[in-house]
Amino acid sequence: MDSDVQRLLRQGQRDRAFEMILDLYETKVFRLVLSLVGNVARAEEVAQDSLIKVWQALERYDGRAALGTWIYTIARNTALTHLRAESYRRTVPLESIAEPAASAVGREGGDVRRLVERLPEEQREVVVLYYYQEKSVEEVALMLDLPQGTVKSHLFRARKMLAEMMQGAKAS
Amino acid sequence: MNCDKAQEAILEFGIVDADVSAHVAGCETCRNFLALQRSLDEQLTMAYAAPDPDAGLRARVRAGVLDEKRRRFWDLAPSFIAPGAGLVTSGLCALLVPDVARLALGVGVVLSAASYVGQLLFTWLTEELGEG
Repeated sequence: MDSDVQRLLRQGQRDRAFEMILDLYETKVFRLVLSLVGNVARAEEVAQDSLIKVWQALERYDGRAALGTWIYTIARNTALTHLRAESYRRTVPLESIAEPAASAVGREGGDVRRLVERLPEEQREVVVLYYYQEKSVEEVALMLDLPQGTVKSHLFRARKMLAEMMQGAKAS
Repeated sequence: MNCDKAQEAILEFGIVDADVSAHVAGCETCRNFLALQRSLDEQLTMAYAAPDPDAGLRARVRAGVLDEKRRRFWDLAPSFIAPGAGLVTSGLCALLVPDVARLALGVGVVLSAASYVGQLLFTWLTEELGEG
């Protein structure tokens, strides 16, 4: 599918290529952004900005990076810019803005969410994205621009830590 | 297989092969650990059910792209207004004064092209100076 997008771009059909990108990446970009900004309304806004930036940059896309990697980089940078702007407006540290990333949607599973929020940032991000992306290590690695081994090792450590926290919670 | 290896395998793969299974069957600690991991996985799956974006997101993205196209058009428009007006004026002169039509067209085209190149140079220079 990525190769279809590249073929359309080579043929100068930017609008058709962009429609295909929306079909392929709209939801994934939204989930990636949601895992970073932690709020559905804001994630919609940032995903919208990210996808418009993808359209703007599409004429400069040369196919050297995989399409997904390129799109996710734009989305991640856009989300981080939003978070920085937000933290500047509130004059509070970026870490505390990023903190609610795990408490994204709904109230169910609140306990486990609270535990996830206590994980180190890189582990929390991987855990949230892993479940948002229906347990695909490959997709998470692509989204975060990390080797699959690193994603697996973050998951491993996170599971271990979560299990310890749960056992600790049960014991107390 | 000892408990450390069994728990590592459970954490790493989330699935239980024959060796781990055999160990878990005879070890209460690892049985509890496996149950805990399965419960954790279920809770995380529920808590982080894959969310879908609002149905209106795509329409808003398309509207944003359309705005961007309009903005680009109006950014580019001034560059073509001066040479375009020059060419139209030359054409009119050629029609109104047929005796010097070739001259009027020739001079008009050259001046229009020169004004376009001059405008490009001016834009480039101001951008360079602005960045400097």
